[in-house]
Amino acid sequence: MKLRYLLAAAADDLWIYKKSGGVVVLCNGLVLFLVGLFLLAGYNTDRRFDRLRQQGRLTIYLRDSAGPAAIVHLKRRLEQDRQVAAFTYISKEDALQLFRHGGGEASLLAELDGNPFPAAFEVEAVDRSALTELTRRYARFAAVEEVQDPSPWQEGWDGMFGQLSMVGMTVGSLVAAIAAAVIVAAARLHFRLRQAEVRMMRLVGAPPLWIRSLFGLEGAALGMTGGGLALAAVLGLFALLRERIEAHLAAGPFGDQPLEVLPVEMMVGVVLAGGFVGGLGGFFSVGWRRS
Amino acid sequence: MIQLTQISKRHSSQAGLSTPPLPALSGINLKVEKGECVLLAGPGGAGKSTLLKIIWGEVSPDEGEVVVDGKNVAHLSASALAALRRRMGFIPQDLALPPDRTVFDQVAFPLRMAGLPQCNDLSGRVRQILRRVRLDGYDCRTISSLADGERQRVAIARALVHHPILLLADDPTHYLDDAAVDEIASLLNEVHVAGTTVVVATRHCGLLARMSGRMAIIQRGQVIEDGAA
Repeated sequence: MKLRYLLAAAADDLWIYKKSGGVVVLCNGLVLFLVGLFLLAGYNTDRRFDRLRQQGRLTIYLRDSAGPAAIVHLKRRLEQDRQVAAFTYISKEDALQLFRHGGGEASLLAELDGNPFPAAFEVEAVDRSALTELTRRYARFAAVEEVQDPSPWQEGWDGMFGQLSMVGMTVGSLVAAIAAAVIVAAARLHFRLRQAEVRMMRLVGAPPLWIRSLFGLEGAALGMTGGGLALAAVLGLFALLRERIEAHLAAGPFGDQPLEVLPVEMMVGVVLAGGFVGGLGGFFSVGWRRS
Repeated sequence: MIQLTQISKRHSSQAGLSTPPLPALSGINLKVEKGECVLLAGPGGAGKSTLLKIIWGEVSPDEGEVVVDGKNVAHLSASALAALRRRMGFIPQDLALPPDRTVFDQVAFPLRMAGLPQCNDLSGRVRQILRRVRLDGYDCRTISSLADGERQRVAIARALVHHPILLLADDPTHYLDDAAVDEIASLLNEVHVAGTTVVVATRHCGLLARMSGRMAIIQRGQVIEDGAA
């Protein structure tokens, strides 16, 4: 009975104190909105870094002397190779075109005789660990001039990603701590304004745990509502700006990988975290004092 | 029911550290038997309210022992004190009525804390006590919309709705006119006759004249006279 009444009383209180509750929800919503933005940015950055980290690409440069038969032979080997996910053949002419489209200096080419660019296969390995083996395997072909293995510079990237992750986690922890402090403070302030009610409850013999649970429940509801509001704002902003940001990022080092919305678990996490922290703030806004 | 032994309490000094604390109660001994009605009379600032708050456990005495219903109030945990309070009723001088609540909510609260199911029984008991204090039809009114006298009646109804074994009333007629004082006096007398122990602190001569019971006069924090009214 007391539990049922506790839930009903919490619902009543949320309605009765809707003005100050609304301020708390807005406050929670604002800080959780910032947390949501941070998570969204972090999630998409992490995905991009992850793609770069996992990417296993190498380039097989062919000798100018490699004839069509050798090229076809190499193509077949690549098709049959289980460690190769995909490959593209770039002829000498294609390479020249790419250079020109890429803004290469025409004067530089004029000084040279003919087309200096070699034909090549751009190979995507099934995963990065296969790169060394693939490099060794295809370097043995007579038609192959050189196989460019990107592993060494990718290891450099790994180090940088690790450091960036550390910075991201530190900033994330700081943002989470500040958000938690603001939510707890807002909840405590909201319930501090109801000291007359606390006194009345104590006066008629409401158990201290009951009073705390009531405020904890209300704090949780306010926190979750703030979380929901924040999430709606983040998703709205994301839908509004997604294309513009993607277009902006396409020119950068990460290519045209599309932006993704936060996964459901993270969204639920934001709402639940708001509820949990709000609940704690409410629960601890009343002491165990006897009077 | 109540046993007060050598109760002393000093108010903390407001003027600064150089001023010694002001004594509110000094060596009070008082025994109230089960089913008895005791009227604590005396001028304002005599210590009547402080004494009731000490019995209620809201204020701790600096010295002495308070035993209520066989329990030493000072030694009770917060939850044990709450359990004791659920069996008693208290009408504080400031009424302790949150302004945004409805009359029904306020009066039903002690019943809900006592675990009475949400059914016709609860509503019936709330309406019955509201009728007794002449507040029929006030169920849905918020406290902030009531006059002072009506609020006083709500506080009285809240203290009586769960049939307490002990009723403490701190100036229960403070905001009431003479006609209403008559009604409250007869209500408190009825409660007493029904077997509830009643302790009323008042300086209202009209109430003292209309109530039957033992009168204890408090002056400057001491019981100077204790006898039948």
